[in-house]
Amino acid sequence: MTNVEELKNRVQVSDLMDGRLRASAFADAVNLVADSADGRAAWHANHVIGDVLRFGDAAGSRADIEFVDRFRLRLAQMPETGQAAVGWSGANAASVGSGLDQKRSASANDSSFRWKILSGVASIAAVVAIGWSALVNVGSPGATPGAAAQLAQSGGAAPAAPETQVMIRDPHLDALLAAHKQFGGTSALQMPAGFLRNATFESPSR
Amino acid sequence: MTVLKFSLLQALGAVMAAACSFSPAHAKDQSALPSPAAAVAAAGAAALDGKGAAERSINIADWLMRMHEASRKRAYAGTFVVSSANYMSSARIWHICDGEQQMERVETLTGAPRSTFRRNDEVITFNVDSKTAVAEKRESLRLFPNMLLASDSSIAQFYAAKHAGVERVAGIDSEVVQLVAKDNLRFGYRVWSEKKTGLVVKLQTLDTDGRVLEQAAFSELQLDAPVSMSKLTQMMSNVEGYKVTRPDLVKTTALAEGWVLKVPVAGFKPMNCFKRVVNQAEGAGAESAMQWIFSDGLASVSLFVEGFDRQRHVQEGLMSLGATKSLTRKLSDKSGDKPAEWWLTVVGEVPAQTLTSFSLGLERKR
Repeated sequence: MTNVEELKNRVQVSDLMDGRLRASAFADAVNLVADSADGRAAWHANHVIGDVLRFGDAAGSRADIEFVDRFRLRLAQMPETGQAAVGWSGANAASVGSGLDQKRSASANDSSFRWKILSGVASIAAVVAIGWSALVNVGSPGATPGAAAQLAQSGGAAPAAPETQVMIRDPHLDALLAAHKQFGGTSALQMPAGFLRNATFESPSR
Repeated sequence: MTVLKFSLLQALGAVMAAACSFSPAHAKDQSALPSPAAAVAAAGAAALDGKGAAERSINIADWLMRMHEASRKRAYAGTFVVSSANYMSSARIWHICDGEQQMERVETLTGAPRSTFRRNDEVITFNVDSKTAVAEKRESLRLFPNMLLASDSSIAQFYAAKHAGVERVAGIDSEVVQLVAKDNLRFGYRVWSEKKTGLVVKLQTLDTDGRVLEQAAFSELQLDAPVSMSKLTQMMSNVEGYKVTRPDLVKTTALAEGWVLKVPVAGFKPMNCFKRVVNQAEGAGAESAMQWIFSDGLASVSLFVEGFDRQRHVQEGLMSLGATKSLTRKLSDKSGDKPAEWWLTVVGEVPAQTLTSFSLGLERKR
């Protein structure tokens, strides 16, 4: 089976799990899962991905863990292409400029930055996960001494960012955000709305 | 597969009462403020004279002050919906104020069930699933209106307020006021306030290009609702079956922690500084971080500095969550005998470049 066919099958299984398929497309996908080892592997893999996204880790077998490790590695190695994501729009935020080093760290997915979901890798995840949208990756610490200078150069007006579709779930960042939210009342506009905002806010990891 | 974590809620902007006045400012003299009735009359007159009002600017400090003042005697209940590009959520709110004490109850309708109660600056949050409750005092809730009255209040220096018409929200006739940032270091806001009472019924955060980043609005609102303060008090104090914790928070100064902001960010003043234990996700432990808080009066930014951990602090970058942006960056000091490293996280409802400015301005005291 070619890589293209393999990818197509995975997307088909992912769409099946997402409930996107109807009629013959649905039947074809069910047949794929029922009849092909590759289809079953994709089905299983998507479940593992779902577990990780829901619970933060795969609860399954050693094989699952190995799969997760491979999945992490592949995500970390993928070039950031800025390609469109699946199904929903990203943040409307501005980037800090075009001159930034967008090189991805090879170890991007650890316990803090657990998952980065890219289009084409796990479409299922794109409609499942709600988290931080990465606007710009400055690079890995220590590896990019020029990052600060680059940031400095970008201090001018920020253009609207192309919707960068990298979603990040980061419990530590969520914890800091919660701490920040406690002081949302440090705003004349949001007093006491700041309190209500905090009270209603729930971070992605909870 | 259904959405698993539909949790990101932002905000309820319920709140305050705003009666727009178009008279000259008396922001620094509370006694000189027009009475709420006069403000309402002025707002009503402006509404009748829609065209003229739409073109007239507003004194922002007066307007904010009246919002704050008018909120002190309102009772209401309603459903609030908060949305941004990636999420939508809602909560049920009860608010009562007898002129001295303010009480609120917020019940989340989406995400994990959670009840939050506030009595002035005392807050307790009940997490229903985990049977835990967090009790805390939020000093920031006491900052206003003193901050508005302070002689160095510079909100008007960085924001302009203008009347933007009249619209209906949740069946309520509302006046719209737009707060426009005068530079690219802060977002703008559009605020809908109930014409008669001034209660804020809708709030939008706008990016530097005027696009909506976040919106919080009542979908249903009952003014002068029969909210019982005694009942809320009773509910707030009933912690039976819950494990109550209090955040580990120590007041400090950035200087005492060895940090200075060498290059200030225009309009943002230091408000507070704490050393706090930041609770991690389950199983990940906890750690201490300095939190240095800045505000320009409308937007706030937190600088968190903690020891660098190669295992956890992997990726520098900028991230976005609705109107909230965050920036992470490693800081190093190689001047001493032993090189030191820290991890900086800047979080705030401000444009990314503002976070960048903070991150570049922070330096280790030598």
